[in-house]
Amino acid sequence: MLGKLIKHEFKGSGRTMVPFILVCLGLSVLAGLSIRGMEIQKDYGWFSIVFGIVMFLFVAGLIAVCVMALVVCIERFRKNLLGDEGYLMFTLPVSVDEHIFAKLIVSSVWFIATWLVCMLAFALMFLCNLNLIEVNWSEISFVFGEIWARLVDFGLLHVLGYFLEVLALVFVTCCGTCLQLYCAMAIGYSFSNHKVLLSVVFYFVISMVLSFIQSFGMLFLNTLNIQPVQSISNAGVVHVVLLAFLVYMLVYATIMYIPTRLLLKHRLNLP
Amino acid sequence: MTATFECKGLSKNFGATQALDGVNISIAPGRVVGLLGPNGSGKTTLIKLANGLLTPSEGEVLICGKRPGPESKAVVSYLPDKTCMPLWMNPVQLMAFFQDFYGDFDRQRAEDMLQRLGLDKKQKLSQMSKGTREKVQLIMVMSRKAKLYLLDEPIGGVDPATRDYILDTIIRNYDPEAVVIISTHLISDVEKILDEVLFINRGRIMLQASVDDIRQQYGKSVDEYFREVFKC
Repeated sequence: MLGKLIKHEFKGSGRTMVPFILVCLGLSVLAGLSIRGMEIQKDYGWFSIVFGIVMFLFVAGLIAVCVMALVVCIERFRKNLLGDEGYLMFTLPVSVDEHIFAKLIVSSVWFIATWLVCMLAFALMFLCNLNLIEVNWSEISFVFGEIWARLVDFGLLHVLGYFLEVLALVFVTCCGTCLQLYCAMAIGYSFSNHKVLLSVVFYFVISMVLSFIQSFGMLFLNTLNIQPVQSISNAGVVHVVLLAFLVYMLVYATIMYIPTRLLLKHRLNLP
Repeated sequence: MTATFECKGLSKNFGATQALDGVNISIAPGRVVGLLGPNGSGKTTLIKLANGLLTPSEGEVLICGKRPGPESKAVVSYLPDKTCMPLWMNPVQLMAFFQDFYGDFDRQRAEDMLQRLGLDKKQKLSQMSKGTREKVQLIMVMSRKAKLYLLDEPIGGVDPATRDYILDTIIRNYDPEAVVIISTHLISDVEKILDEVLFINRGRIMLQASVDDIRQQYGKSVDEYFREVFKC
């Protein structure tokens, strides 16, 4: 059932996200072409106004995609689970955990997708002007060859490990961020009145409590006076740091998940 | 035989307010039951508890011997008293949604009912009137071959002609082994399809009796008897 929930969640959220992504990519091509136009025309009259407008729209598009990922994350949880649609969703033969995981996975995918879209948008803008730039392919292949040789020297397994650790860290961080929003909404919507306002208040309260715990934790770690372990190489230290962050984010996500689950299961307060 | 719907000492408090107070009900398969009571009597709370949308303060509710959960939800078809279907969907998308989650969803039955009521399958719910949305919602709910149908005010927002069609649909579509519980104020309209009635007031069951018994014992229709019992 989780797969089916995810499928319908993508349909529900994709309706908003896909047009924004397509517009953003379209604007990046337009921005690329306008840069090209500026280079060719060398006349900074009326075209510079067009160029300015297109570049403004391009930047606004990038910001809009990122903002929309956040809005969709909040609105899908609020409307689909805590609003009238909750009567349909919570009477499906699926567990509360599956509901939360479906929302979480899809929102995290959209967050990661927006970053990829931003990178792709810049790449498209660059590609539109590729023939205007004098590219020395032999130099590029030499640079890439050097990088590869360095990576082999460093240890490809380490590099692969870093890549996977960073990927996992990004995903878990996205999940943790979403879960903090879900937790605040689950608390806010368990009250009879001022649900939205209380959700916002609880989001900030949770943030404050977390930063207090973080500060306290850092102080505690300082008092431990941990000495670096000599037997671990520099490459190994990076792994340890990345894994420590990963564990920290997993704990954070779990702490946000538990009250969300309990409130949706036992204190659901549909309108 | 296991009762399809059973409440044992079921209570629900909202703070200091007691919405349900020690409710005991047992309904055997094959009955169409009217859950009747004045506003705020606890009808919707009882239905929400049966759907797992609320957690009991005391006691338990059992659907085919099981507490509300994914297993019981697979055999319960619920119609809430408000539009709960995503408004961006059209009936075709809704049918696909129901087909995905409910193994007992009969798509052909839904298509037939949509056609019979002259509803546009491609029209978004957001573009439909409130009454039309209610019809679509009821069609989805009644197109399942469930063991328990919980219908909260199914005919409240539709015109009298559609009301008759809906009641006819309920009777024609439900499995003789299933239980249908209809919560409504429009007693005279639903009376003709009821086997049994539950009178509920201030969170307590005041009466559980068959429609025939009420007619014989009191010499009145259910509607007349209800008006007498709940006279203001």
